[in-house]
Amino acid sequence: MIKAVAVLAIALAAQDQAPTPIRWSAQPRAPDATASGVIMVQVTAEIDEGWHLYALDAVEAGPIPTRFSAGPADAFTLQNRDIEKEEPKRALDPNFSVETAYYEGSATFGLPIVVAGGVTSGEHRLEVTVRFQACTTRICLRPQTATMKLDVEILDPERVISAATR
Amino acid sequence: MMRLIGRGFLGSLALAFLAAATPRAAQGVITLAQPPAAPNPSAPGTPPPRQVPPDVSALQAAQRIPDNDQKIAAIEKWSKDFPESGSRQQAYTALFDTLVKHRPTDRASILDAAQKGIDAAQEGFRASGYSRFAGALLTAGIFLEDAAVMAEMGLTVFEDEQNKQMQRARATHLGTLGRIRIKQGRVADGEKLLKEAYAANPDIPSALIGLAEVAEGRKDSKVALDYWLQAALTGRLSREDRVKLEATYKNAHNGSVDGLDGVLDAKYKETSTNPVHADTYTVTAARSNRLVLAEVFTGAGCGPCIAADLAFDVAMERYSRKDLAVVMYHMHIPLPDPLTNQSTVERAKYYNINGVPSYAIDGSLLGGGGGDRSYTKRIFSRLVLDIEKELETKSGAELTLEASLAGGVLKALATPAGLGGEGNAVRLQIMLVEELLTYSGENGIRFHPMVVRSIGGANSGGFTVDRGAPVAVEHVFDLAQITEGTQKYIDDYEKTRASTQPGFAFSRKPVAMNSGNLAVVAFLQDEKSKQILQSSYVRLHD
Repeated sequence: MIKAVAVLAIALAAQDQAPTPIRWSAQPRAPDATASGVIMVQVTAEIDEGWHLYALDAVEAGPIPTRFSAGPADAFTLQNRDIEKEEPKRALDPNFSVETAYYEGSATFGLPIVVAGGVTSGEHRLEVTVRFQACTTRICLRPQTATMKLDVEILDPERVISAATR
Repeated sequence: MMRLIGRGFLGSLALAFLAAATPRAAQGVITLAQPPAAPNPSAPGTPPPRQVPPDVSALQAAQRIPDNDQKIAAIEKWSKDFPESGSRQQAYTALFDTLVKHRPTDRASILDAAQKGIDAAQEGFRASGYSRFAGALLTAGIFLEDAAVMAEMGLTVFEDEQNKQMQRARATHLGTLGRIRIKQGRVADGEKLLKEAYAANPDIPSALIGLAEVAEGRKDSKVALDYWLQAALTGRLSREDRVKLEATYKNAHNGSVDGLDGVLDAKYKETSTNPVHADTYTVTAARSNRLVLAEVFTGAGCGPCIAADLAFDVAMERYSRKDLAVVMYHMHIPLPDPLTNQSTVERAKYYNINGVPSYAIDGSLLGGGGGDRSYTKRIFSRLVLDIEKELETKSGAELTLEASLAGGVLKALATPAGLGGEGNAVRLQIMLVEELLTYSGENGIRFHPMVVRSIGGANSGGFTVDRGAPVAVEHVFDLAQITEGTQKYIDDYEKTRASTQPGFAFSRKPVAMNSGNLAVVAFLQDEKSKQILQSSYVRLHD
């Protein structure tokens, strides 16, 4: 059987942002993908004590929600609607005087990333970017961006079919 | 032309760090600035390392005393010497622990220390104070009756704190249901719910707007306007809501919005007072020739900036502008702030500011961080120590500043001197500030003092100074050009933000400057240590 590891490598987040109280990492979860297929990537945020990482839902007059994207855009597209996420905490947030949804301690997200139809088989660099904001009761950080880079191998669909029927 | 002269000699504080909101952050998890430069005693102009504040070092010294009687006496003396210190809770806890261990029969002193420790705790943390002291008595096996009373008090305070928090959170849901009921035509039910929401949390704009609309429905324009004004002061009116407020105001004022901001100002003053008051600073024998400079990074949409903003308000009351100049750099953190401009953003980059509130006294970034109103006193107490230490530190240079305003053009002439020929590179900064702006941001603060509108030099970076042969620098602030630039910056920001947050729009854009409200602040800054050597301040009005 030729079927091999589809998402090879990997990656702890390339933390190309300044040190923050929130540290991101990513690893592939579903290892099979061909062009037009879906790669599942698990992204984890480790959150220092006292800090809030705001959830994905926008709150009117609230903080910037956490937002993921995948790239390069011609090869990978994140299916935002289908992101798997833990239920955040919800509470009246004194920083915004509205109820906000946020994570404490840690948060894990499952990102379904569609491989574009025209992507050739072989190794590709997938970039997962997250834009987020964090506050404690005493300070708010400016919105920050972290990019996680993963080397993924896109399988040749013909070889996958061939292997499956052999 | 008005004139103010500052002169003097090198100051003492090195750049120290960092904006640490939590102990973890203090270990370097967030970086708001860079590590301190290593002092080089041989280089003239190199400042010595920043010292620990006197209250903190005195408490540390007291706690290190090996003899317990002497330690107890030292901590008791400390509490008299530093009655406003932010370390009081720590001090009384140390005193309590020492007494429990070494004078376990001295019930009165032990209970007194515990009570003072609880009283020194911030609002919302008193319950854990009771439990901590009760637990220590339990562990020591002494005064169990008192321990039980303390633990019961802790439980009561805890329930009270939780209840208050729950009621405020519940108000949001009551407000939503109330507005639905009104939409369904069940106006009386809806109004009752909205009033309940308002009673539990008077800062919920949706409840206030709902109540305003109910009052309008029954043609009670006076009550409607009052609710609209309160809603406006939360800083959370949308642009559409602002239009409705103005329509209601016009109805009651012959079709004009004139005076609306004045009415809002008056209502704000009526309902929002600073929790801290301070005596006027009395000049000491050790007062130097330094004008101390406070640089504050803040945001009108920043909840934790409330305490820092209020603390600097008190500082500006305590010290005259001959003692302390304050400049406020607004930032879009965490929410967009229309008082931000390209110059303030550039200044944040200079200090590598990642979060707000952050502040520097004479170029030395303090711990940073703010909180709600209850933190104001703690922050102010800390500021006083740093400001008054600087007031008694000789300046590192002389700086003369002259400014004049005519025909919408403000000319500032800054003349440095007395820098000495050697030392780190020095930069001259010249800033245009508006002394007071009124704008209700999302954190509810309406009066914004010393708002930086423009900074001179390429990319707002100031001007190079030749230490050996400093020359006067004239900078011209063209008010119309600055306003136009700020307007473009804010419009562009709004457009960019709306691309990721559909529908986003500032409710107001207070970019126009009041020429009767301007001042210029200039200062000389050591490029390596970031230490401010001397500052100057000139008002352009009486």
